[in-house]
Amino acid sequence: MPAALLVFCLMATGSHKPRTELLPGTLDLMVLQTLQAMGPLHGFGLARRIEQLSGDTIQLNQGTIYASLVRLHQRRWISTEWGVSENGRRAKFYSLTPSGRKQLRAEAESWTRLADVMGRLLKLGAPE
Amino acid sequence: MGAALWVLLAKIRSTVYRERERRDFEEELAAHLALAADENIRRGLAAPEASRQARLALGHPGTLLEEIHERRGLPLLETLAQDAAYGWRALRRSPALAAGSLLALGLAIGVPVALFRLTAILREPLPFPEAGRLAIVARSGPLLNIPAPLFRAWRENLSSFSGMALFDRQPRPYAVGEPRDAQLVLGLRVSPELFSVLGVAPMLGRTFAASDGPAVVLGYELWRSRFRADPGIAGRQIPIDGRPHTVLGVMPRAFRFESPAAPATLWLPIGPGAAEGEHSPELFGVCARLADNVSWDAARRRTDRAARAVAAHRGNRSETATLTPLADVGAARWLVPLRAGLVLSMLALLAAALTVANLILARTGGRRRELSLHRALGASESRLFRRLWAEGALLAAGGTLCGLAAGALLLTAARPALLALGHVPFRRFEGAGIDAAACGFGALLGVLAAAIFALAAAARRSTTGPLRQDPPRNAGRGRNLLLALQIGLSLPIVAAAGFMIASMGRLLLAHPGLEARGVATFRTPELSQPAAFCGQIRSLARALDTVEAASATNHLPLSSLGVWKLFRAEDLAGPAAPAQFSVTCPAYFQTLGIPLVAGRDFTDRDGPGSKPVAIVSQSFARRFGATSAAIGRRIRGGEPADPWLTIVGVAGDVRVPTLTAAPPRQVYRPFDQCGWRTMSVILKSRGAPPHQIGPAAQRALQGELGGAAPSITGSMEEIVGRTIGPNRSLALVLAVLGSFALALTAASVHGVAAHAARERTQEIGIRIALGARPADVVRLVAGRCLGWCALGAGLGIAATLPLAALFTGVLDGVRPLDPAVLASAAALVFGVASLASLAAARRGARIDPLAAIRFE
Repeated sequence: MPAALLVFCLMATGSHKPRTELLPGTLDLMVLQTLQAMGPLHGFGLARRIEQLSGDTIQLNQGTIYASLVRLHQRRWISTEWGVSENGRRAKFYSLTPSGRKQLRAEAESWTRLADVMGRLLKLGAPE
Repeated sequence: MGAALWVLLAKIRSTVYRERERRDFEEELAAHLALAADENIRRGLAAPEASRQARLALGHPGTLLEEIHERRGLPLLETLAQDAAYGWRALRRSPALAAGSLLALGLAIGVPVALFRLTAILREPLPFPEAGRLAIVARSGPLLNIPAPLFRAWRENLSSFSGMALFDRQPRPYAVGEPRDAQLVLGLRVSPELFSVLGVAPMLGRTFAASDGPAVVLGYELWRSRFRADPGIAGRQIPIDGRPHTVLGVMPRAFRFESPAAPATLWLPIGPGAAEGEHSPELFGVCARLADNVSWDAARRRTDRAARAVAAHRGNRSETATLTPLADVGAARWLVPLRAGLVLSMLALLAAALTVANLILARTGGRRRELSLHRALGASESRLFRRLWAEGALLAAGGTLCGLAAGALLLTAARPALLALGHVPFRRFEGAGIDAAACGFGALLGVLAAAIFALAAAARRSTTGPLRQDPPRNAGRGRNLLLALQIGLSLPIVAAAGFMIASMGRLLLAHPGLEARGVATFRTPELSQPAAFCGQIRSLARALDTVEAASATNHLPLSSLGVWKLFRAEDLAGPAAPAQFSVTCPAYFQTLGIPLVAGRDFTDRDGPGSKPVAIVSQSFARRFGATSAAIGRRIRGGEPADPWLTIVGVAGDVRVPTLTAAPPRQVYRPFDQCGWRTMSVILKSRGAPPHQIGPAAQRALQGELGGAAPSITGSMEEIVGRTIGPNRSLALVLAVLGSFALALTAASVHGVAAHAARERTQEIGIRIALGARPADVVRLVAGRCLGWCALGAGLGIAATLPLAALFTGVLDGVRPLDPAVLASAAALVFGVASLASLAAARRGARIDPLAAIRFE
């Protein structure tokens, strides 16, 4: 279900110019959800996971992930820690905080509701 | 909500640790690129291509760094800091302008802050519980004018008050202690109810009861200094004027109850026989407390009605009563000039701010190129505005600080002057320093100045185009308009100073009706041999060869309110009229240089056994028609037991040259016929200044009179000077403000004209090259500037008209809108403006045409 939600988000943002057409807050939700699903990750790892989940159909401008990370960190929804990556490189790892988890639950719920409404709305009058 | 707070905290943190976070992020990006390159290599790309792909996927690291940096920190704060630094550098480039502006703003903020504080002191609540319910009850006319019998009648019939009390119109000197080391202090006689009316309990002992013998209540300071704060003082006997009095109690430190004339340090009871030496009733002040649930309006109505009823019952035709809040007594004559000064000094602040704005703008005119470049490079509107405003905002902030310092300094400097100027009852200027409210007021004025600079900067910004280096056609119009406004604000200040100085000049020229020069004054202790007193004074005058003439009076003229009594004239209809009552020895008029207009002076023959006589002032004599018609007529005091007095002389009016235009009516009586407890001795010196003959005369006087030494009470000139004190200090403040306004005008006009000349350097160069004479150039540059100055002067005259209302009641002998004064003020401002613009234009005309043409 969360994976389906992520894909929906990515679809909703469109694929050609993700940076400008990203709905506000979309990327933040994706980041929170990915951290929830995968555990602590560094910035590159996060960007790749999101790209992979979309089946590499979307080339995310990877830099934008950092703006989102700063935003989430400032709100104390994620915490940071320098660590060592799987191939032995020093990298900064991000993980979800309890308040981040709460925030994710709230936002996921409202997104699902919105997605339901949007889905029903788009089916309206469409040939079955 | 919580998140927003966390964000703010995080941003502040990032601003503080800016460099560290930047390095951290650079490191993180490097790690990101390395990780991405690793993965690309794993997917089979060559190392250089792997790095290139990684960089492509990430985006431009510089932009990213900038974006993250902006998101992390507080970019607004940083650019503000940059703008402030920019303003600071701009100020540093022209230190003279910066210092001059700071000085001008400091002075322009300091003066109103100081005046604001003084006004606030006058408006502070009185040191009594529920002081707003305390009133002075009076008949129409001077405020403290109630004879004791009328007070008693009122107390029985006036229902609006919970209590009423009687007190002396002015304090008298009392000798406290044994005669050989007695100390003269000012005391006030009050009726026993006064302390309960005021609602203040004594700190020690009790206050008066109806059945007390000779008793006294001491003030805190006197108790501490004279009696070493003796806690057992209550009940002890102390000599006052040589007679033993029982000390009943000591009032708390904050307590003060005083007449408008001078402070008091002890209180004595008013006995049943309140009149002194004369049968006609003396006049007192009446203090009352409004009963609960009675409004001021209701109390006024009821008191007036009851007073009319009492008057009808007592056989007086029309006698009304007025209520004045106790807090207003004595403060009013200060509030009017203070308010006028406050309004004008705020105008001066506006003028100063406009001048500074104008000078800054004239200079930014020279930076047109720099600003155009800024705009062309994409500086936002608000950024450009902040750049233009930075200098002004810094100056306003600095000016506010300077202003508060100047205000504190002014208050400190003014303190001795204020104390010397006279006494405001219940108020103390001693501790006057800058307080929180005054600081707030100063900050408000600073914001006002900053707002004016902001307006000027906003106006300036709109004339800056991105690629426009040539001044637009109307570039100078904003500056010229500011110039006209500034002159329009300065003119009322100069005009007000002019009105006030003209008024002061007339006051100083106006003869007070007496010759004060060379007159020394002394106050005797209680007289031990009243019958011999006038003779003793005469022999003193003969014994001292430094003294030309000597006499004595119960109350010095002009010095205070004196004693007022009611007098009715024989064969003359109309109610009894109040007159100032003076008791004098012979030669009084000669000693003070008061002319005898008709009749004769008192002589030795006007003794206790002879016919009761009086001398009246010209204004009193006018009731009888011609002055000489008063001689031989008879007058008497308001009570039936008073004797008929025959008028034997008419003396010139002694005019208190202050707010009251009409000289007070005077009735003089010979000392030998009515006596007085203590007297003021006046000595006219033969030429030496009064303070030089003072000590010797004091010793001689003590030798002649015996008993305690009389006190030196200053020269007559000081007493005359004190009466015009508040007006003189207002004139001084206005003179300072007026010169300040003129200086501002000169600076402003000069700056604008000089800038206009600089902007037209090329044109002027060509004109000179083509044969224009310097005079033509001066006419060209100065002419346009002067047109705006004339517009400003017109605005100023228009602004002066409504402001004149402020000065009604302060100006003596000058109409508030005296056309001559107004015209000279306008001429002065315009003259200064012309001189300044001519000076600037002449400098502009002295350029080398070749250099000018190569100017760009």
